[in-house]
Amino acid sequence: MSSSTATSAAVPTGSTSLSLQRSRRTDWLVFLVVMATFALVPPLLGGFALYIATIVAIFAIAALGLQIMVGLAGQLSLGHAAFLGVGAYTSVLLQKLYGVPFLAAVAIATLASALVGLLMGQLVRLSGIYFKIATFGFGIIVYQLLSNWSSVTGGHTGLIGIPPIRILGTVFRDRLSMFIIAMIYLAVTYALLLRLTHGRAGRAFRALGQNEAAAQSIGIPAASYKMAVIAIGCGAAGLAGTLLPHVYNFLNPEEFTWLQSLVLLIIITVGGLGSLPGAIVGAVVLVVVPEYLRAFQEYKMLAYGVLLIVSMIFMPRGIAGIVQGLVTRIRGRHAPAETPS
Amino acid sequence: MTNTILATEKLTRSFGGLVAVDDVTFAVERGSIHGLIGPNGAGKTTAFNLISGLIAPSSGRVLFDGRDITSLPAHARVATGICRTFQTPQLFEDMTALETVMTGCHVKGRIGIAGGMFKFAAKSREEAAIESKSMGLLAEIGLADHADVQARNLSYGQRRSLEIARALAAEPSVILFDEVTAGLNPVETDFIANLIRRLRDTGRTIVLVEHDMRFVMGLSDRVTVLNFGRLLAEGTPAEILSNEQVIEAYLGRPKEKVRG
Repeated sequence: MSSSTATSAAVPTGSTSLSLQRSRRTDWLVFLVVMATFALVPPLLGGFALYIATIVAIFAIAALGLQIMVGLAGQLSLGHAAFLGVGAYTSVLLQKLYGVPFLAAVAIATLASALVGLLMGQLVRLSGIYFKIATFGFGIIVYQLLSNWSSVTGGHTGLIGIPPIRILGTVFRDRLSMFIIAMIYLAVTYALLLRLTHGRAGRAFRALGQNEAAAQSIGIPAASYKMAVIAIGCGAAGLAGTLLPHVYNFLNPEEFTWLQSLVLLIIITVGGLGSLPGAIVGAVVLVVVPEYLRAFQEYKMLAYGVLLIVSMIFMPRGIAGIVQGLVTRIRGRHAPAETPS
Repeated sequence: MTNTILATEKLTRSFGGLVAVDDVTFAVERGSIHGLIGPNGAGKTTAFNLISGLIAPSSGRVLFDGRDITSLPAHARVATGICRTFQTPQLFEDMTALETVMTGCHVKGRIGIAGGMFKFAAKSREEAAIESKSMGLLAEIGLADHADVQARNLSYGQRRSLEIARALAAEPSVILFDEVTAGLNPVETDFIANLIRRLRDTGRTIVLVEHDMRFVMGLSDRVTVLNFGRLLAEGTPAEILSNEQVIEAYLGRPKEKVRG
């Protein structure tokens, strides 16, 4: 309670909260730690680790968007993988059929995914459980479309001959450049969404997720903010999707089934609902662990189910919650020695 | 009549066969404390929900500052200047007290979704202003040293105060308090009464839906009484307290002989 006495000379009394500023600074510190780990560890391990880290980054980007949509604003989507698919197919088809440059194709595909998300939001103007069920149905429709519109998407056999990433005349196709591009995607998405949560719109999203009636009672237009957060969540998934075909070097609809939607939800739950770094850590767990347990492939879904249940029982706030608890405990122990930075 | 800030005209709302609010016309004077009372089921809360826009009327109008706001959705009414609290505090449980009040500043802020991501100087200016204003409101409501406590960890009385601070953050000209003293102890009730007087003295208009007769009669400049959804009486607290119809509605018709 004596926290404000040390620094209050600089600011008018009672006008700022040290812990609000400290928590924002901590968020950026975590950002730096997460991105530094990403930038250092996979290149040191090299080879296959770079490939896995690229896929982790892709799922992390999609999970970050889903985290804002589900973890903060409470708009549960059960068909989110479909938007990865919309991004992936839109981007590849634009490049392959129309020769659109990579960056432009990525931008259009991201926008297209956000628009398809808005379309879903408008079509199913439902609330609560009905919206959730409708998103599930929407995911299946997109999957069916990708599987059966063979003349364009290649159907179940998928698309091969994915054009290499070409930016300003330079072609990037080796693992390291793929990894670097994915890192840039991730850093930009993470930073923008973190900035979003540290402001008026972020508070409105959280208000919406925690008590919609109360949010409306203080003037937050719930319907518009719902649409906005759906567009953000679906746009992030679309952006993530644009990288996938270049990494796999082929594209088929099996990457975008409802099981993948479930995996995305498990990622944000295990990582910690509402936490952006949690979404990234969740992606690490759910992508890396299965890669090293390929021998037990047939038990994968069973393991996911057990993981989800165990994490909800023993760590309802996910890995992020556990880490936060530990940090608070350590800080508490060293409280007298603590000095403002 | 120009001094009327809030008015209802023949406001009616029925739920199936039940007419919860029936042809109610009343006016609230600018800068006054206006009590809305009535026995259980009289339609007070329904009238509140109609005024704040949470539900739509079957017929009739709601006027704010001479303007028909009947078709405005609830969130848009806040921007025009009407804000409410709930019978049971409706908070954002995972937010700290400070974040809660900062969220209440929503209608006064300008930085949107794109601005939140891409603006730097303007955003940090607005955030600093919102934070400072919110800390001020927390101090006013007596929660300054609880700024960093999550809403879920506050006591019942503190939750009520926090909800009021959040409503004040929208800088409403009319504040609707729905049973603001429910569940509070006498000390807390006195604190709220003083706060409401202070708000009135700074030019705001207060509408109270209340059960606590001592509280509402002691505070209100004028009182409207509803019974079975209809307007029963309106007047100063003294007039209402001596109104036979009101006494009858609350206590029942006196019998000639109680026993015999």
